[in-house]
Amino acid sequence: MKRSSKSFKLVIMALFVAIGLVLQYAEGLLIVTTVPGGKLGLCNIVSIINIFMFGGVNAIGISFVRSLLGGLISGGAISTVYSVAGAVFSTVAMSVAKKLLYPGLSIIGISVIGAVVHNIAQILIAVLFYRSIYLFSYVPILLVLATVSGCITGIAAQIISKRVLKGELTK
Amino acid sequence: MKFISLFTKYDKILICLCLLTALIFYILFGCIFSLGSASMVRITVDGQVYGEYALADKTVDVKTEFGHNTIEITKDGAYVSFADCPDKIDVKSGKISKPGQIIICVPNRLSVQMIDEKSNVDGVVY
Repeated sequence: MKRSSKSFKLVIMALFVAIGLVLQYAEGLLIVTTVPGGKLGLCNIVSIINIFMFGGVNAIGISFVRSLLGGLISGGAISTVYSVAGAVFSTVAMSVAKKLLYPGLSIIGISVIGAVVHNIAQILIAVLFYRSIYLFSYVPILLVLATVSGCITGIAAQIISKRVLKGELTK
Repeated sequence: MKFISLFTKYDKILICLCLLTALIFYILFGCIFSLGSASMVRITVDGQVYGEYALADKTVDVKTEFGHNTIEITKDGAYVSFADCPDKIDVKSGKISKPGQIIICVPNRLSVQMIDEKSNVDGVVY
């Protein structure tokens, strides 16, 4: 199969769905957080790499499929809604940020934007479900957590881009 | 030092902005929600009020079609002691005591909230 062929690209994209799915599931099992709703967001790494490799539209598609499957595996219908909303909105935001601000803003900055938008989208969905503006009192703590986890996943994506993909990502 | 050099100037500005926004929100919510002291605990299920309880030692069992939670109400606050949901985030949230503080359980569509009868922000629901 030629590396440039359509089916090669499809296979690689499907592989990324699988990688993201495993990361999302493993994160839930391995990493225990004390703050309610706090997560590292390891699949953010996959989303960033996808944006650089396949472009924004494909990356949003991959995120959608990954979060839909991940939500159904780890929970019921409601957690799937949260999962899909968070993943899709954050990937959209990161694609826009990459288009407008890269390379002034590095992969780390894009990752921080993704993490912040992920949390804000989930809070908005929760407000819709619970019809209570008191949920916004979670915003400060989640913003700080998102900034920290965005930095961590951004650095990880940076390292993967340099070591594993030999800089192909940022060319 | 190697990691620090990975950040560009705009990255650092963005991170500072995020943390600053968090701080502003924190102070803002502190001002709005922490006026006065809480006098009641309101439990809602699926957006509907399940019950309102005065602060006194009491155990409330909430068994609905969405799941089973046990809420312990004490003289100064409330906490969730049992939940049959998979993630147990509501149990891990610990105790709430200030007005406006809230514990939620997404799978069971439950929320436990401290309210203040006299507070003027109590009625903001849409």
